[in-house]
Amino acid sequence: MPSNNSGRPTPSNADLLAAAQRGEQEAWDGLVARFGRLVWSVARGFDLAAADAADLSQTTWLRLVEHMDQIKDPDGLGSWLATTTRREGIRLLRKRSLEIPDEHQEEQSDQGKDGPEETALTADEHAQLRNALAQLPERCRKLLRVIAASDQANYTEVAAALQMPVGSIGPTRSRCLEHLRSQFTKSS
Amino acid sequence: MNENGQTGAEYDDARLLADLNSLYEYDDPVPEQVLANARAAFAWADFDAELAKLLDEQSLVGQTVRATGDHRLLTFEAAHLTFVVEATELAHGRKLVGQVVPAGPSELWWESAGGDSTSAKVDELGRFSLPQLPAGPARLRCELPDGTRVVTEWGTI
Repeated sequence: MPSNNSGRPTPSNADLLAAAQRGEQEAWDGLVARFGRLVWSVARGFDLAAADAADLSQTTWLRLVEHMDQIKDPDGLGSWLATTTRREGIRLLRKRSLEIPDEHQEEQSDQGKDGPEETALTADEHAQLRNALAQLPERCRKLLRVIAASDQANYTEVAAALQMPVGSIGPTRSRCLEHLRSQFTKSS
Repeated sequence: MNENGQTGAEYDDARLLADLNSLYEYDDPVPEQVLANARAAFAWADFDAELAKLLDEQSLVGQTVRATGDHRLLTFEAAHLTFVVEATELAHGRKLVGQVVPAGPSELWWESAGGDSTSAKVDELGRFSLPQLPAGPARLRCELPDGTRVVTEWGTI
């Protein structure tokens, strides 16, 4: 993120929302940088084509534009965005299921698309992790994806994204990670 | 079970999550266009317009139209204007037929998030028709005789 002013390294959601309402594009961009990945991860949790997931993400951001002045709890902005994405995603799925009767798509894998050159893991480690991940129940995969995308592992945000009770996120997360780890070591 | 506050396990969990994050960044990164569009969404900010919220959405799909696609009735309501819209999914896009209540505005605009816009005449009973629109997030905008702008919530209408 571009450095804002020296006194405050990371502006709060409330600061960014307030500045955006004064018309500052930079503040808005800061919100997109902060939550863009979370919104995308929730959108990708639905079995939608990439273009539909992109529309879903865009709808959520447009909703925030029109509701910017009505966000009562700026600290919960991530949850608000996650909930909005989930609701709109359910709407879209309902609409789709009317068009395409129960065509259950397997999770789309867009692997092999050119990703960033530099990643923390080697291609081989990626492959192992990907295989381990594929062995997990879908519920676990969705949960871990949103948790991984949620910067401070904000459980309220994750609960909103997946409509799970907040209290069950921690234990489920542990179970899923445990499961992943055992698959991972089995394969390596 | 390593949940009892063992820092070693917590550290391992954090590392595994970081690895997962790296994998998702690699396999399914947020497309740059998605982020660019999200930044561009800010251009739609209009704090003076009245927002008409989606109140009700009913599917009108029956056996006969099923083959041609989705058919829905949407109601958007604001303090000064209500939009009732019948949306029909077409092979490439959709068709909207609707009515604004109370009648009065003589024109109405359809706007897509991508920046496309189409206008339609509104007749003396408030009725309008938009025969061929592209898919994707969009909204309707209408101006009342007193100058109040009313927009519907963004969504896949």
